[in-house]
Amino acid sequence: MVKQLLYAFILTIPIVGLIIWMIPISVMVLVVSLLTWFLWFWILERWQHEWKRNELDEEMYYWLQNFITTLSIKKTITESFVDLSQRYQLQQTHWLKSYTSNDAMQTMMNLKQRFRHPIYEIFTSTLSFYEQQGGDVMTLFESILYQTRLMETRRLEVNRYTKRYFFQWMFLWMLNILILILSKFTLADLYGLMRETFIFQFLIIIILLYIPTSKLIWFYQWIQVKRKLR
Amino acid sequence: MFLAGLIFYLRWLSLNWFQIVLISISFVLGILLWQRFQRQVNNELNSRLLQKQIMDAYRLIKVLILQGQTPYQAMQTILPFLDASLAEAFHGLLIDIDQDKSLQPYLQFAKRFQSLMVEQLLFSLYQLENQGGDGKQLQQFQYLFDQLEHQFYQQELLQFHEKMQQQSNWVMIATSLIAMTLLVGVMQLIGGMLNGI
Repeated sequence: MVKQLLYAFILTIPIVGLIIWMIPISVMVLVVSLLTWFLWFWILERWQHEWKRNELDEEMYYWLQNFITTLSIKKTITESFVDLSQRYQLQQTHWLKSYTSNDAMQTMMNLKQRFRHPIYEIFTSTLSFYEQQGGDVMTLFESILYQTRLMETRRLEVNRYTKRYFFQWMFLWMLNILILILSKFTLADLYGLMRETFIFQFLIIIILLYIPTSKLIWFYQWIQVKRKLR
Repeated sequence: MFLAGLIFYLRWLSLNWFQIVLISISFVLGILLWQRFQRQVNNELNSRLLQKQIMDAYRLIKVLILQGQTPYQAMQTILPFLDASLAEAFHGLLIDIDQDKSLQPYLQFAKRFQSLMVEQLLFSLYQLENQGGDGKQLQQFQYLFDQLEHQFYQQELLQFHEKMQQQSNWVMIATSLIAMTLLVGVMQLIGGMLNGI
């Protein structure tokens, strides 16, 4: 939370700096600064939440892929789990520790708390079936492997497009800010007179407050469509 | 209440009753149109959400069918993993299937989704349940599901692109606002100068 507040503050500084540079300081500027700070903070909070979910989806994909592949070689759940947990320890991945219990199957069940995706539920019920009845690992888990691979492909695709659209949004705002800065230099005399009028101050504040607001709208839309593609 | 306030305000502005009625009617019409538009947008959103939920459910059903379960068993197994309303709908379907072994319960279930895609999938589930799940039929079901899933995903991806492209329009509004700000500023100065003369 403190980290987010600090990052939000860092993002607020350029906007407030620009406002102060363009119009005289007033109570309105102070209110807008606080509002901008709050907006950025809220965006960063939600962003972190979504990013965490994204990371968990990725982790789940690799965990399932590795586990099923290891199970097809080792044939027993316990051996596969021990092998995989050793590999994770070597890779300095520590999240597994908090879910580990003496029984490998129980650990797999505990991981449901981390991987809250329906496919993981199906995976654990298939694993229980395998534990009781046995069978060919690849035949049993083939469709789960296929589905997780498909999900991962989509996740990567969405991430790639997200980056592209984010830079597009940023580039357009850079251009807008450049227009504002250039107008101050090119219309220097007029600007000096204009900045004293209330309507001009009000419009400048609206424009600069619109930066985090448009990001908020962008982010809200992104979450909506991303969840559908999950 | 708001309309009464508006009429009172317009009267205070000394507008005649004909003008007030015209403005009020336009205002009410505008609100009604906006509400209708919102309803349409919400309906479309809900319908897409339902389709998404049913695709997720089908994905799980497919996994279970490929593991050797019958469609009926698969539908029973997935109930705890579904959204409450969809789980209730699937539960209703299972009860209906118990009472009526024909295609009717499947079609009734498909109706609520208003999608040919869902109807097709339910028909193939019915075939798989009642005409035996031999290799060929299973392959057909898998093919149909993969095709529809791909189609659904492509549609969603297209919507993703459309929505994200629309975000550029919001920034364009800021561009026009900047132009307007400068124009208003200059106009104010000219106005001030003319008044000074």
